[in-house]
Amino acid sequence: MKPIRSELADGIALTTMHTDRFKAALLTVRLLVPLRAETAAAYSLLTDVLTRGTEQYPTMQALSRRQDELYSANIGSFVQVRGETQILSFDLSVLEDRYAFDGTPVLREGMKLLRQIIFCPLTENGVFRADYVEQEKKNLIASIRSVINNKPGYALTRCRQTMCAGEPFAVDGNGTEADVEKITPESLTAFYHDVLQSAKVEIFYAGKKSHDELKSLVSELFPFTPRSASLLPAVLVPARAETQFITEQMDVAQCQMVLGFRMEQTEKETHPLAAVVFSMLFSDSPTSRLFMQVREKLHLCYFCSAVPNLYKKVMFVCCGLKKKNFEKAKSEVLAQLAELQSGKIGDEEFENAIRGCKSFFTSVQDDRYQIVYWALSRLLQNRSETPEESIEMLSGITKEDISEFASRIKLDTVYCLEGGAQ
Amino acid sequence: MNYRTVRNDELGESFVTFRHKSGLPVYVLPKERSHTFALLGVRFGAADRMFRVKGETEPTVLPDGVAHFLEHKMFEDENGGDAFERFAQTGADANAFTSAEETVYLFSATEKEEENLRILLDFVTHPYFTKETVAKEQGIIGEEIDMTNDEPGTMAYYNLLRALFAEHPVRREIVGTRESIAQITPELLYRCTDLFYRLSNMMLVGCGKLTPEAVERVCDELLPEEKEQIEIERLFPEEPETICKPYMRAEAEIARPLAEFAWKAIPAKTEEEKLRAWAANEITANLLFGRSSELGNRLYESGLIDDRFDGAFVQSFRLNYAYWLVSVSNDDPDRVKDEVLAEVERRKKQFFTREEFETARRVVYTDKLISFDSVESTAFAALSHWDSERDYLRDPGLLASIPYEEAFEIFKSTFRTDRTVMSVVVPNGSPRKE
Repeated sequence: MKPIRSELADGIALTTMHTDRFKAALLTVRLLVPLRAETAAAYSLLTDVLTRGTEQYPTMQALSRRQDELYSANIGSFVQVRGETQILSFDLSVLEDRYAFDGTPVLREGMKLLRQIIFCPLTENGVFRADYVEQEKKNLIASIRSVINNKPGYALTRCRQTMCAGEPFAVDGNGTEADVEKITPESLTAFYHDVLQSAKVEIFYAGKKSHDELKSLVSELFPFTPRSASLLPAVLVPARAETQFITEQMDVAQCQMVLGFRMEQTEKETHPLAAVVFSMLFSDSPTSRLFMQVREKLHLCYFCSAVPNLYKKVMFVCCGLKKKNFEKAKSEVLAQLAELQSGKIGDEEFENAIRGCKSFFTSVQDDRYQIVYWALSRLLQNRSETPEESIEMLSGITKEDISEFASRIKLDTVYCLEGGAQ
Repeated sequence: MNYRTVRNDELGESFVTFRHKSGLPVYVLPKERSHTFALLGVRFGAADRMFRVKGETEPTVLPDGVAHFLEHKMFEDENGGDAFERFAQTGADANAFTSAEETVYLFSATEKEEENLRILLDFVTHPYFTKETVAKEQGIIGEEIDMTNDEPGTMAYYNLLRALFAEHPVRREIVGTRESIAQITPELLYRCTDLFYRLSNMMLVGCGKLTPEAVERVCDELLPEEKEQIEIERLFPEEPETICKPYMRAEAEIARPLAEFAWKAIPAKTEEEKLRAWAANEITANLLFGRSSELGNRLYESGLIDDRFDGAFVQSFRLNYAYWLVSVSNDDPDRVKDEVLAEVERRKKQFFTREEFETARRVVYTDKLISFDSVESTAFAALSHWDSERDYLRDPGLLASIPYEEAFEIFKSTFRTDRTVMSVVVPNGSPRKE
């Protein structure tokens, strides 16, 4: 399934992946902007306010009813962060036209609705409605505060923020409470016009329609104007010479350990798939090092897993455990990493990891969201290989590629969220 | 072998089912996909904690968490290896989970489907436990228990079940407690596998590239002839129709209250009635709590709720319980409860219009249809009809045909506003409300 990509105008592109497997299709409009403390909160809020009402469908209920009528079409708007890029996302999931028993062109009608949301928001005197903005600010603040509800997630966030303080990567996709507070209907309207005119626009589609059909639908329905948009690569920083240790307290039953690593960059490129094979070997399967050693052999925890970020070249290892086991678990994680760095990789575990990756690449095409995410993440890494091509590339990868990649991973920050504050 | 093929042309779906001579019921769901998903369900869940084996005088009562503990332990074999390693050699991704009703072992694979099936059937039918491996798992599961104790959503959910049910075992935590799992021994685990890990007490579902012939071949190769049945009477304490406690409160380090409300219903008697209650209440739940609902939109616009507001009708076919559930995260859960109650009372007098009902019907029907895009959802749909005389491909048809009047009657009889419970988790140090 080779994606077809067209530049529709400067800074605006359409990528389609033809697939006949599903009863529903997915179209998504992505507005890509640099992740910045000054704009993150406003852009996040924007994705909420835009789905409150449009000129034609002024209330959320009217918008929802229209989606119901369109065979339970589903429009989702939210922000994502990939490395140091913030992505305003507008997903439209619709039944394939052929299943609509009354002949409604569901995709087209769904895109008209999406056009309303992106281009025709409800305004008063050219400004977003104050009540909608105020209420969504309140909801967004509640959402920012609720990060503490998920303790492992909270610990990861805190480690990232402290390790990368001062870098755009420390900024949360929703911004901070204080940033949200500052937003006014006028400032939000200005942000809206700005992002609509200047963001890099990437539109993806996975479904039965042809590229040409999509191209004409997009040109007809989405009036994006040409723009000169380019994305800056993430700021890459070497690991601290001396590891940073941070301990915070909270009323928790379980201690959370997060180890923050940086991946060092050199002139020489690593194998393009070294990172994914490394992850499989290190953390992403029940036969990986972290699962087998930290959990199964030492039984220190229920979960211990690595979260690499290839856009930013950092990695976090997260583990929920007893405080008394903290040092033991940390040493074991580092010892396992050191083994992979020194090339102590068994044939069997290496083959298993390759097979695991192959299986993962192969199943991408069974899910329309995965198909789109694949295309988006390749694009953000300036790459273009398809899952099929990745499978072919796997046959050339060696253990040396993995240990060379692993050798670039350096510990930067050790974070501990512990109980006992009570 | 007697294959039975069931086809539904309107949905473009079909499956083949047969009972293998080992006693194992098999469902094969062909789908043109790059990966295959298979599951082996064992009818032994967290709620199966009390039973009487024919010939024994005393009933057995298990400590909480045995079914889940077994799920962890089944992966290991007597050679010190484990099933995960075997799956890794075929590139498959394996996992398992335990619910109140059953334990499910599963894999997802893009090649060597038969080999993976062999591993699945083999490891789930070959228990191996020692003192050492049990002790090791007590450590791992102990951490899992601590983890769930830090999840405010889980806390709110179990408190809700404890408020709803005085006796029903669904009120007990699936993973157990550190104290209950400390009582688990290899002998106890063997007794449970002897009694419950029998092929006639399991169900195999494969969705994707597997064929019935291939599945049968693997079953022939690995599975013994059906053994003599052991009669086990599963004992469930009498559960009153009324609620246990109207209100449960807990504190946690969270930003604002999380609340769950439920209204205890009298479970329908027959399978047919349960299916009709399911179909009717799927549509009604969409009308009451769905994104287009008047109530949800009014509460949202008044600032009382945000996206974290949801409602559904929950019922178990095997374990015989039913309730309506609403979840919310906001500053004033009591007011949400009052608003929901008022709306329900109003709708009991004046139900939604036929037009609204038909739109909601279309929504739930389409969502069901689209769920067949996924091999996982399709396989779980088959599993959910374990006991059923009716096949899972008839579910969408039931959604499409359940009459408006009947749905109204079912709504009135299941939504018992006189049996309300509320479970709330509040930020540490919040003032108590009278």
